[in-house]
Amino acid sequence: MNTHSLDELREQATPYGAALLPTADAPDPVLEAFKRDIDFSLVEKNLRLTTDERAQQLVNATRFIAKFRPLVTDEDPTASL
Amino acid sequence: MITDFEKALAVFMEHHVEFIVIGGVAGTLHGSAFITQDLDVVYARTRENIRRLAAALQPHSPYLRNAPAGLPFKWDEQTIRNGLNFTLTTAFGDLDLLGEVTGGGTYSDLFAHSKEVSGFGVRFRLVDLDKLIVLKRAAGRPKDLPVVAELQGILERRRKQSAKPPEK
Repeated sequence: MNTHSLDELREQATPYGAALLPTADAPDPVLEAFKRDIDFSLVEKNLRLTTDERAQQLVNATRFIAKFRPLVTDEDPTASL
Repeated sequence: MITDFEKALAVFMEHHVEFIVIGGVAGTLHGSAFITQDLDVVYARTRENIRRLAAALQPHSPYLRNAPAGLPFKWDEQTIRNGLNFTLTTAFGDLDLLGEVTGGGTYSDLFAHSKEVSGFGVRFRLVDLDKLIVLKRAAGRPKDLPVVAELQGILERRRKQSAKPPEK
């Protein structure tokens, strides 16, 4: 049995007009509607950071959540972090 | 449970597990402002990698997430071979291990759509932004819609940036 990667299948199907999967930039009115409500100033700030810095920012945010969420829930503050 | 990303990735690297980070963490590393609490990875289904993955997680109490307490579950090579995608809790937090992902296929399929990056104190493979959007769209989950919209915005900004003529 022949096996094909998804990219090969997409390439073969394209001439017949079959879209197997949406591409990253395929337009979608629902996504356009969501885009209008997104604060891209935060994103632009993130884009000025390195991957390493973005990772550190996520670590800091999750530590903050882990520390303070138990104050409003019954969660164990010692779990995981 | 919130995942200790540094610990989780260190465990994978220490055991030389072949994996690609996808999901919310990938989104964050591409610039998303959404905060994720678990780690999603696609792992290679080779015999050797399954052996490494079993050994890597074994000491960290992996258990099926949302399974009733007391349900017998043994984390070993056989379990990984018999299954494909695992949603786990571990001592370092929630972890989704995917042998195959909708819209992206297997580790080998995704490999060409990933690159090595530095973060969380290690270097590891991260799915590229285009593919991440395809994965999120293919998953078809309503909760992902704002995230996909934001990722598309990032993609548009990147393309605009790379299309700009170099400054003199």
